[in-house]
Amino acid sequence: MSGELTKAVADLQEEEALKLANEWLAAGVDPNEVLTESRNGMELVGERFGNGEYFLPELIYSAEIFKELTEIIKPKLQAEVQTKRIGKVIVGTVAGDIHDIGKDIVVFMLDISGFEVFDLGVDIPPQQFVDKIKETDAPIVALSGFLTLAFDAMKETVDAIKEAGLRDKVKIMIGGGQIDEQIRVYSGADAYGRDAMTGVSLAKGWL
Amino acid sequence: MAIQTATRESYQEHLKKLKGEIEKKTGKSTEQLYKERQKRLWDAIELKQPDKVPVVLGGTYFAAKYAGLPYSSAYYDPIAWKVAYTRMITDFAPDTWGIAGGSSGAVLDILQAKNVKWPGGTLPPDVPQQNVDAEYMKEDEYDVFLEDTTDFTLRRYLPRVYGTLEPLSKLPDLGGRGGGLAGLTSIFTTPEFQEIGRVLQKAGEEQKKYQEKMGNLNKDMESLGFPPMSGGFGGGAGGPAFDQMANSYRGWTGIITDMYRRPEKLIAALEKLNRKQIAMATPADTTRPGPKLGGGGAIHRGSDRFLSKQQFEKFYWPTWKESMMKSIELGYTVSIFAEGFCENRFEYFLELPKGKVMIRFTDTDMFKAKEALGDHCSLMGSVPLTLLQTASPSEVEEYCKKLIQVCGKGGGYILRTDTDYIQEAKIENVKAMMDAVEKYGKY
Repeated sequence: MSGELTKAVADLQEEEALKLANEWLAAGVDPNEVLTESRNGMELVGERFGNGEYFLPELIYSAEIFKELTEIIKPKLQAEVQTKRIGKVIVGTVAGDIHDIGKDIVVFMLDISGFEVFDLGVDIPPQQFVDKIKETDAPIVALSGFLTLAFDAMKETVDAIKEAGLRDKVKIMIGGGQIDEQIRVYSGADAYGRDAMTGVSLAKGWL
Repeated sequence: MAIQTATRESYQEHLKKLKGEIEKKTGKSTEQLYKERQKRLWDAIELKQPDKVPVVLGGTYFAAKYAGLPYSSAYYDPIAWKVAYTRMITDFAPDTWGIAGGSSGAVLDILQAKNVKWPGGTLPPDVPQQNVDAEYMKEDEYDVFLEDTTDFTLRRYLPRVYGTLEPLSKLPDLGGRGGGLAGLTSIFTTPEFQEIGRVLQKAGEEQKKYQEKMGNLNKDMESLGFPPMSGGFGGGAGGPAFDQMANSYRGWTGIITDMYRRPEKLIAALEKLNRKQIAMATPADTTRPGPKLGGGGAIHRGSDRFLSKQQFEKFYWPTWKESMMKSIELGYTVSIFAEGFCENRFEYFLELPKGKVMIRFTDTDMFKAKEALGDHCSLMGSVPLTLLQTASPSEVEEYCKKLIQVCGKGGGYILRTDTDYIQEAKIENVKAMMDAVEKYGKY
């Protein structure tokens, strides 16, 4: 285990990564280690995205590669060593908005970065966020939205969390193509991010 | 007149009433207003200094909301929607209007469209339309697409995009039918194909009805003194092939994996789409005065945060530049809607001929754009909707003042909101934007 797989994933060498994983599994390497190597590669992808070396295509393509890797690794896992999770995050696209590309990238990057992510999906009414906070005790909520109607839906969601008496128990971030400081103030969220890595650093900063 | 019960006749009455209102308020005839506005727009497009900074106001749904109609009216009640739209434009009095109108909701219902969700159909009446990003072409279908795009469209694309056209996938290959059509006709006696026939006829009738009701909005606007941005839009060689491929066929994840797994095929498909749209382009009407806008198109996935420069140069720019150069050669000024952040794209815009390009920005820093491109392209934009939705009128005024003073310097500039989907904007803020142009926009 020399970091070769990590490098192949980080460099987006799809064929090489799959070949290595298959060879290692056939040679009896612990599948958990193969998975860890793959995850480490994804973390590097995230870093490179964060420093501007990689763009969205690299991020999305790496996710495709990682998906393929987990498909061949998972069946071999006797018992998956639970990856140590550093914190819980609830993510969802707010009511009225069905956009999921940005949200899915955030979910993926949070997951890769070690968070336990509760992805509620798209078009999520405020109450569902409230219920999920109560159910999971997650200290971080991330609201996604692309449409301009999302500004109000985000505000309503933050208000609902407030009304449920949970506002001081959670940090709330918002994100999406049109989100800016103006909307952060308007919605009552704690912070905003315009890309997935900002979301990850915000979440890490709030732990 | 109750807007919901508007008829063709009452709409004509409504237009007459608006015309009277406008002439009384401005002390000018609508013909005169039309000419003044047209000159103002033409000057700005041609990088000249007009008498005043021109301003565009769009808002298909904003107009509906302003008049108390649901957004779905643009899809299901075109006459009532037209009453609302002409009212809104009359009240705010921009130099020209922006994106206007929906499409027939009944047709989308009948066809069971899956690539779009629309208000009053697959969405609630007050939620704006949204496009569904999906793989309408599978990753292993490039060869079919490249070999025979029409066959691909007929037997694979249409059945996936329109529920009612699913049976088309059962058609045999229609290419090379040396033996004529006779042998094929028996398929049309099956119940599912008879149903397609019925459905298409019904869709056609609904489409016709919608078009008749929508009428000629350009002409109605003209009667109220509002010219189009530039007469005879269109005719150019189309927009970025990359976005057409991503939006209509492969979806975002699909096209990204293609960039890595089958770049040659992706590029071949982009070139094919581009050849087609270049072949369909027609020359600009040079007998008509003023700039002719045509070609250009919107940047969806080509902005700074979607593609790296390297990716942009490999997949996005070559075909797009080719189509824009063709449009310019045919006598057009290309009109680019640069959505997202496009500061890293300035250098490419400068490769296009000076004075032949108009660019509307959204998130891009307008002040940087003015500095980098102001001598080369006419610029349009960009009052953020976030401001119009959440700020105070005085903040909006302040922002517009700065835009006018910095970007408007020397002309070649048109003020506009970052998006035309401004339905969430506060009405007083839209008014503050229009007032700012009157207050600070005169040269």
